[in-house]
Amino acid sequence: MTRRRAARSVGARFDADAFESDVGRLRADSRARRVAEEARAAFTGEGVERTELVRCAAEGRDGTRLAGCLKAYLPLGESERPFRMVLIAGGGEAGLELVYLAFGVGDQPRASHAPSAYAIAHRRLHGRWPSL
Amino acid sequence: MCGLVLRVNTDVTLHHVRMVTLDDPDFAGTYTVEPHSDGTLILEPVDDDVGPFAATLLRRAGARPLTPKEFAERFGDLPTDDEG
Repeated sequence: MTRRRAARSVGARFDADAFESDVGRLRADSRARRVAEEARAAFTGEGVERTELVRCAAEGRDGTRLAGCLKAYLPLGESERPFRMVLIAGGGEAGLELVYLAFGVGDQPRASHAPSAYAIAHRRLHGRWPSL
Repeated sequence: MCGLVLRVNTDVTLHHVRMVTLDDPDFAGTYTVEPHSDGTLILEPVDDDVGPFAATLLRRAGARPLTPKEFAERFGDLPTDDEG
């Protein structure tokens, strides 16, 4: 059972500073915070099932460039999943791993200037916000 | 560029006259405030408010980025979407 799960999932690591930067600012009782923390607990303990992973766009329509990154739609197991967790694939001594890169909504309302999960991930990858 | 309308039920913390922090699931973050000529206020996310960069995150995890070939071999079969 353990061997089968390992083949179907990829281990994940979460940097406390990055996670806190994205999630710590949310209200303690907010749905977004609960979703992010539940995902971190699940992914840290069991890894991320490959069936939950979607490749990010190398050239996104929102101006983001996220080659080498993957995302999970959250919350897991629900039909409505507005949140995204972006992870960057890396190789280490433990083998293939996913490293937490960003959390947020996938598609911000048009009038919003708050960054999406993709924009935060782009900023962390390229050092600046995406531009269209 | 469109202004962001602040709702009364959103918690707003003023750092100083040109910066605000919104505590809201959809708009959480720290923003600079710039007045627009039409009277609206434009909120821009603070550039340095995103925590560590990807290279730092990978280094802390003891990992290196995959090459495009490695990524394609490992994850090329996974789906994409039209978001980002």
